[in-house]
Amino acid sequence: MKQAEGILFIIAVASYLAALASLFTKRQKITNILSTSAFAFHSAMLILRTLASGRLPFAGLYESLLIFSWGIMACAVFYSRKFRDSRIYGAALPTVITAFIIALTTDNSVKPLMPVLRSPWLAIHVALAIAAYGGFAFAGGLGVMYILKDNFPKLSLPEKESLDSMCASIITLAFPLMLGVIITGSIWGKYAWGSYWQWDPKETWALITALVYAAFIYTRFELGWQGSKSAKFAIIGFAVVIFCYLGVNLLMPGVHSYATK
Amino acid sequence: MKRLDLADRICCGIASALICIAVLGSFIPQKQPAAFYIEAFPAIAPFLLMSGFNDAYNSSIFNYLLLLLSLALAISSFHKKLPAILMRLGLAFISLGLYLSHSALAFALTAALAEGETFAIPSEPHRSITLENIHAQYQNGTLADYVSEITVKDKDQEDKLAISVNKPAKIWGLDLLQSGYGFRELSFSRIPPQGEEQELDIDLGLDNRKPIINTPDTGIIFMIADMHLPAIIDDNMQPASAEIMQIYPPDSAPQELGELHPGDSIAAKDGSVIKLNSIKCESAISISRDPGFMTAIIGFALIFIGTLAYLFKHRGIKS
Repeated sequence: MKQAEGILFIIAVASYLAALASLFTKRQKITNILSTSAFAFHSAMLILRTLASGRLPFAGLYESLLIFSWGIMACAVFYSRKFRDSRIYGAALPTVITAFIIALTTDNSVKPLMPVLRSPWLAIHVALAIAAYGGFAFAGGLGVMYILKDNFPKLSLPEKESLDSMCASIITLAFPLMLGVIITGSIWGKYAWGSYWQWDPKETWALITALVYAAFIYTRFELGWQGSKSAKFAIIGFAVVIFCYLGVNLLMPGVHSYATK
Repeated sequence: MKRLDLADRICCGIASALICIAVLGSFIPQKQPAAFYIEAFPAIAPFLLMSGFNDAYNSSIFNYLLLLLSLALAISSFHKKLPAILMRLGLAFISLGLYLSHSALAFALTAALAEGETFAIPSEPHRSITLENIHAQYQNGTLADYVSEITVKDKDQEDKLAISVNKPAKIWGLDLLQSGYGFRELSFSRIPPQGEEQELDIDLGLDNRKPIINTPDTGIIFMIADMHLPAIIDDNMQPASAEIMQIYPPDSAPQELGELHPGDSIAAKDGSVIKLNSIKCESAISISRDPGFMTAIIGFALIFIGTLAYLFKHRGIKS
């Protein structure tokens, strides 16, 4: 089973790299085929790992990176189908490939869950986090595409208006999910640690992330910010998400530090 | 494009100050002795200690700012539209909840209780908790849970409760949680090849699990490689155990001697016999009262509804 998982990992990375390269050929059909097949291999790999471990792949940095990148790619597949535009994959592929490269450097052995993680809250909390972080990361990628299109109008990228509205729509959908992450984490923390909020670095940065995106929504709908201002906000938000997701675990010890082991 | 009004700017200012303190608190180790800050951060140590940012989230400045933000947001909500009101009130509730959780109304401590030991709740001495036993539970060969069986006593009324990881008990408005385990005391006997039996009692703490027993007569050193709680494995209760290592001759590498349960003996390299008499386990039980929990959850729920209201209002989001 582990060998099959390894083979799927290699095929998925190769397909993602080929999909990224195909973006420069401007042949959307090829990009679409490569991206969706890479996503299928990625999904199959996660299913295999679930079967091998007898639990959802929500423990440790290796599994976390694979599931996080799966969330980003799921957003990309959904939106590229909805808008019938494969160039949208460009907002997801660089982050997904980077996640796979980092995953290569981490311990990929299947470990049993520690007692504190044996809770029904784990599945809800992590599933919401995958969707929220995936959405924010994808929106950050769209923000980068917007800035590129703004500065280099001849680049073969979707129209600025589409990128702007897609970015806002994804963030507005991902933000309630992020609140869900914090709410479920708080309730679980109350049961597991006796406190819903310990100002653990991960909690602090999750709150900061939520506040950044609350500010995005507020400035967009109450103050009418859009275009490059909105795109830059989405990129800053993505940087905060990356710090909250990886930086905190690697740099700051806390109750979530098991996520790096 | 609209601009922020004065009320918005005040709220943003307070929120920014709170975020700065929160970021500072996440980068600088918290609740350390003053000497640590003087050594590690000489340039900002006086500022950290004076402002209370060595314990940023419990500092007066941070908590007053939380209270101020909740008031500012609530007051400035009145002239806004529904989604904005919900977002602001949500943030106000969260700030108020966090303030209450760190106010004098909140209460949190961890009691390390050995089996048979009793802990009286501070300020409520008629209420007490006694640890009956602690054990681990295994499922399909892997560690699944730690369980403490306790007796809670309020004047003459006694109740028996079990608390485990993720399954706290709630009593007298307090949450009782399984937050750790350890070993309080080990009792060994050593019978040398010649001579009388020696009693070796070792006091342990939650963080000290690897004591060294040095025996000057032969120079042999016994080490505790690991210790295990009593455990339920496949519905069978296994007693606590200690894995023993020996170093002999001196300066050689440690060698495994074996795993001992209370009452077990084992022969050491120097010809002596080591007998484990007893292991006293202990449980770390967190006792807390948090009056801000529900307020904060209501706050998150209000922001959640506020965002849905924005989504509903801007369906399709073209603006």
